Amino acid sequence: MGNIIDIIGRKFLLFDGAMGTMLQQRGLKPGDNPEIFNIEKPDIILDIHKSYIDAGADIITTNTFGANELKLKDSRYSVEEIIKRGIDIGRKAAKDKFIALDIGPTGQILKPIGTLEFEKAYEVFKRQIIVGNSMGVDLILIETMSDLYEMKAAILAAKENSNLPIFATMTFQDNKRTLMGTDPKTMVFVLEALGVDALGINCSLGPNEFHPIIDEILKYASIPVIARPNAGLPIYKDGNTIYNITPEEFSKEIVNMANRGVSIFGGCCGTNPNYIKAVSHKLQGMKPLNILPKDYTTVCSATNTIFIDGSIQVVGERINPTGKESLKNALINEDMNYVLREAIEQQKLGADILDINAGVPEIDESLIMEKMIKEIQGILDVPLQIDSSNPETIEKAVRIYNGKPIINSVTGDRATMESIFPIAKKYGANVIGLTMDEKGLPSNCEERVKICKKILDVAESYGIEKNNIIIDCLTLTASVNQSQAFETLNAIKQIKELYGVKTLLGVSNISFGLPNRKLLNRTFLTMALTYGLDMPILDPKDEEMMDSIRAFRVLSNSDKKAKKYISFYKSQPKEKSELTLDSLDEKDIKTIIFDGLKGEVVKSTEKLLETLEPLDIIDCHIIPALDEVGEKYERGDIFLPQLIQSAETVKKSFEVIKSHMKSKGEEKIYKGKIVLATVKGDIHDIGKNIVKILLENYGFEVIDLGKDVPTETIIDAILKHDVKLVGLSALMTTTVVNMEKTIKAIKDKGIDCEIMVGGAVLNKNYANMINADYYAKDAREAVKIAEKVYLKK
Amino acid sequence: MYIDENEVLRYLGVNPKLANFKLRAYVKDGIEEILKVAYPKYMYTLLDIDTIEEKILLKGTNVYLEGNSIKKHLKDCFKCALMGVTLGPLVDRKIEYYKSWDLTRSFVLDACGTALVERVCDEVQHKIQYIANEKYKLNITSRYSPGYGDLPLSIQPKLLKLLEGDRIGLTVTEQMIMIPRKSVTAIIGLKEDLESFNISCENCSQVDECIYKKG
Repeated sequence: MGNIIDIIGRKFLLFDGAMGTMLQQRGLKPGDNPEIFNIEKPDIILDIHKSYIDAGADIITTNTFGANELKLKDSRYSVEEIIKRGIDIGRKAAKDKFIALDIGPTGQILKPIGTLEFEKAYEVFKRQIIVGNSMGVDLILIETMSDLYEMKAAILAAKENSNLPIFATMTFQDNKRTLMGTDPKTMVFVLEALGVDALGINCSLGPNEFHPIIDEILKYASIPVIARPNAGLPIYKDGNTIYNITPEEFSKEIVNMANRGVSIFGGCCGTNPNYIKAVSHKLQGMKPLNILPKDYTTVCSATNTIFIDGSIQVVGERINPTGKESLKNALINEDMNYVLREAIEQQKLGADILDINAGVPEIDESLIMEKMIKEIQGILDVPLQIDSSNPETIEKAVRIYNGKPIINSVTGDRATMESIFPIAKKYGANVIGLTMDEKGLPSNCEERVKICKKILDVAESYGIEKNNIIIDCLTLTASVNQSQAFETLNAIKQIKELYGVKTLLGVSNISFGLPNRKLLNRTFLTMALTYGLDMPILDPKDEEMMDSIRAFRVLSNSDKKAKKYISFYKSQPKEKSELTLDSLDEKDIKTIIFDGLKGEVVKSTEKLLETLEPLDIIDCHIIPALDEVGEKYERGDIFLPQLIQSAETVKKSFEVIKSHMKSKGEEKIYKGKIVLATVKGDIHDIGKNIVKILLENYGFEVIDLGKDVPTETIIDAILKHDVKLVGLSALMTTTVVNMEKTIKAIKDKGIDCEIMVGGAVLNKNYANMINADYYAKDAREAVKIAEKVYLKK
Repeated sequence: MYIDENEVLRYLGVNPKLANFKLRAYVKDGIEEILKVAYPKYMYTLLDIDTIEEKILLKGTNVYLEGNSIKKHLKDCFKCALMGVTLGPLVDRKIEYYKSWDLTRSFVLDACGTALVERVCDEVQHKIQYIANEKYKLNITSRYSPGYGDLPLSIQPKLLKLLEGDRIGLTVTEQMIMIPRKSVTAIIGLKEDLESFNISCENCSQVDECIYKKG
């Protein structure tokens, strides 16, 4: 049939139908890997493939869906054996038709929700693809994915280990999202950016439930679309799954989808050759619709797409250590909680995209950049802008990024473009182009426009369309180059008119060296927006700037009926995270700590600092209150949630005291440093987090390594920070084993550091057995142990 | 979907009788937030069982259940039901979201998730009970999960394969931790008499140390 790439989109292509369902009817035992039939019952597989070919299928999917090393862990056969045989059988049945190497999910969930590393998932897929590629399949079908991140690992593995066409389909729930929360348009933008050849959906739902999802995909897709539904919505009856759509109904719905633009079909669970036959029959004589290319500019996380569409998207600039001492220190200490809080706060204040920068000499930029991205994308749906001048850092970052990011940035200097554009193309990232080049800063509007044109041309030569380029016309300082302000503004306007590209601008540089900077910043921002700026980069904590943006959205008619404006200014959102309701009376700090009033404690501490020494506040007010909370807890007067809330309140108070002392040049004295970690394989870390906050309350500095921490990382941290106490937690009997290994490794190395352990399955005896020095039954006990250890030293 | 406030309090280690209005309001808020992200899914399957050399064979499969405790649990049973329940990964993500800046909330949401997954298990158990009653004229035992007694956790991957856990996104790590975290697998026996159907805390071997015991 020739090369499939020449056919897709021009002719309908029909995949086969279900394999697993048919194998169970032919003797596959529940719980066994269907792929072992490739070796043990090849005739059955051949038979099924042939029946699909006879039914009119153009593409046979090999019986290799679950043939990965994780799922085959306990199998008698290797990944290679099973895939080779699977392809052999497929080729035998398909003859001159196509065969697709079928790749399904690993069966494990990726970090941070699961424990599978992204790069490990990549390796798992790579092994499958290498076999498939060497055996000469016609395409790779990556299907039934619910995790966009896992999909990305598979696509990269396919692209880096073969030149085969890639078809990628994900599986959606009836809420029109995948299990991991990806929506159809985000899937489209990310998969297209990664360079797949066709995309779509399969499994989970029947053809009727496919329609709304398919419609959304067709609205945004620029490449051929695939639909492989189940034979109806699965119905669960008496412990069996039943599919109840007939081949006739099924094929009718497929025609319906064909009429709207889908050009590649097939069947998933519950289908059989009769379904494929009916579809094949109905598609006879029909021609696929053309898929028109779309030119949206989008930035995506795994679960959220931001359209750069004129409605003003704010890029939060706070995660940049340049000139920010506390962030810089947090990065040096790899304190990711600090970074997360910065990210969460910016999003809450209205940032649509976050700029991430790790460029300080003291740290390993690539390492910290990767770490920050993994942490932020693990909990937030805000897309990221990777800000670095180092191509190596950029490549590492966009590789592990889950979505479609922005790279910040290239200039008009050919060398920077040549190093960055290939990366942007490969990983499907947007790129910011700064209108400066090897000759330096532009001196007027015309130069900016010229450099912009050059950037767009070079980008095009790398296959990067202009909707993926965002131009920064550069703000120069008004106190030095007063006439430049309007050159920048005019350039924004001209570039948009001439080339229709989106623009971004950091405005605060305008006011450098002048009084009342905020006024200039805000005025320049409003001017730039009027001239067509799409994406201001700013500090979302600057309320006045954010006010201007909200107002601009109303006056530029993008905030329709001023809905968002009204809802924002009518009722400022209240913090609802307090366990107790704030009252208007002024309370003393003891009551505030008792009641866990995190909102009030900052003011109250600041007030005390006006009259008292920091250490007096701690010793005479905070610690006694904290002790009393602890006693109340032990008596059963209050409970764990209240204890934690009080501890968090104390932590807030300490933050105020700490920054006060720092501003006076005093350093807060810690009682000692402690490393905490939830051991390898375990991800239950709530207990550890409670221990952490209580230790901090009592004046210890905690190096929190997080969860699922390998022994080596723990040992490195103990040595690096020279701590005398390490706390390990594990919840499961299966992970206490790793705790024991870690303890052994620490002791074998002869490190002078004591070990305390805690976790649900542990008790004093068990702790002794695994050679721990201390067993902490709860967080208060851990504090007592810490005080004992550091008193000794 | 429904989450019982008193159950959440119990998982938080709070005596419901002593929970004040503010704590209850806070828990209610947490319940609402979890209900927004939870997407409960379940699978179950009924299998005949046979005792072979002290082990219980799930007929039609290659899976054996080992240990004395499951043997005792399934004593006199003809059949058993395997069930798997999960609330989905977005619950985990929500609990994780609060960890860096509002530990109290994260802690309370975690308890809300536990209360919900147990509630869904109760519902699935009812379905199984209904099938046992109607179709087989049998009664059912309580739920028994890997890790209880001497039923090893290592059976988890096999149970999930039988249940086709993949279909509801229910997975298990090498360390036998189920992901999403708010997930349960359990075994229920089908038998004629009802005597042994007793799920009160008094019958549990852990009754003395358990901080979650009812009543």
